[in-house]
Amino acid sequence: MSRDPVRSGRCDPGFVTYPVFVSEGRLVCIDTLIQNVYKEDMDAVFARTFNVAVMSAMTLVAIGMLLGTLRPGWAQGKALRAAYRAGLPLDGVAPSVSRHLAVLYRTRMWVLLAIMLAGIVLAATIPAGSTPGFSWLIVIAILAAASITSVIVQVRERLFRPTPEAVRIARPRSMRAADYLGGVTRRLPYVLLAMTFLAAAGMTVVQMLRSASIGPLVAVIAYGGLALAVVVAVLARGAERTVLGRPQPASNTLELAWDDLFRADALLDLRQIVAVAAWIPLGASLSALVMSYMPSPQDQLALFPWWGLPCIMCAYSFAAGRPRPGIHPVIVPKEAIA
Amino acid sequence: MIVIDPASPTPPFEQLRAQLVAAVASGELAPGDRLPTVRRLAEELGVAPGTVARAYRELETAEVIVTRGRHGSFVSLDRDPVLRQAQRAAAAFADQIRLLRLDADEALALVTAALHATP
Repeated sequence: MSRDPVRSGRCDPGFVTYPVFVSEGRLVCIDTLIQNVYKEDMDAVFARTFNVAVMSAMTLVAIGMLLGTLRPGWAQGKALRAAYRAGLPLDGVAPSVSRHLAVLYRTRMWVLLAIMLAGIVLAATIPAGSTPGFSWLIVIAILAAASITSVIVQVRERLFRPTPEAVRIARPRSMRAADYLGGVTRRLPYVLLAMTFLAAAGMTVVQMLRSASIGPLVAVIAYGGLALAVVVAVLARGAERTVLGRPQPASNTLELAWDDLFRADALLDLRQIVAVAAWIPLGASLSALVMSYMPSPQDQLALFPWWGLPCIMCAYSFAAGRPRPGIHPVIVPKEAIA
Repeated sequence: MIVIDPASPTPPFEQLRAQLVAAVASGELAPGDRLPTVRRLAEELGVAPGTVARAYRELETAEVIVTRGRHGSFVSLDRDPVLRQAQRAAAAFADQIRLLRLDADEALALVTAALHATP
């Protein structure tokens, strides 16, 4: 059977490929995943085996990292690295910071382990497990879980507990996400969300103008993904308000700076998952739009929805662990405040 | 930054009120800025919610801040609420001076002495 969808009249059944537009008797397929790149030597069994192997390897990594977090001294080392990255001293706050980091990372590793084990089971059993893109879905699940974990730990764990007789400090105004996040990381999710709306609208217009029908999977990713992204954005706003509304008991500006640092990281995690949720339908819509006019570069365009994920992850990873200059309080020793 | 010292002879509500007024005067709190909720600020400063509520109430009376129901408390949009409060205090002082039948020079000397006195 020809692998050319134009000649064969339908998408290749050997891979999970989906029609994007059916127009004038011509069928244009989009491979949602990377199999077109490897289509000569990759089949569903290989993809499933590959997914299970990747999940198993990541499970071992998660177990190793979890054991690592249980080592005595791991949290202190992590706190030192965090202090170096943030440029904040650890004088007098090292035990609290280490404890917080230990709780955060242990929780994350347990969640990662649970997702990996569920991923192995799903990769081995469900039909989608035989698609290379399944691994990306697991990555998205990990990012979502990391965001939720950050928020829960940030809200539940009290970083510092000043004694009743200690001097207390507080900011005189309510803080907003804009106080903690840079322009790019703050606006990116909503820019992507707006672009997703436009791309989905454009796809609908093209569909009507060219009397073409959108393939079911692309429709699900573009429209369903857009709806999901909006829901994620709304939920993330609520979670942000919860994080920002949490009290920050502190007896000096250094304690407040550390609390701000962890708070900023939780906000970054939330914005990251909104950006990811907005990117996937945007990528799918753009690919479908371009493919409806230029069907030739399908292989590259089929991958397009996934390209943005590493870029988004990098953008937010670089911003994490660094306090914004404007929010960074002048470090004043306790004696000077008292 | 608000600093509350439990060991200070000044009551916590007065420390808080004075520092919020100073923050408005210095521009650290801009007109329209939202203040933390009573409960949150009380927890951060380790004081009773009533202490923060009292400070907020006094600032509201002085029109330094305004409370918009459930939306919270905000710094008054008035250009200079601190100056207005000072003018109101000066007017009240002037009324007292007239009642006591003191002349302006004596009143000004008293004010100067009070301002130079160690708090």
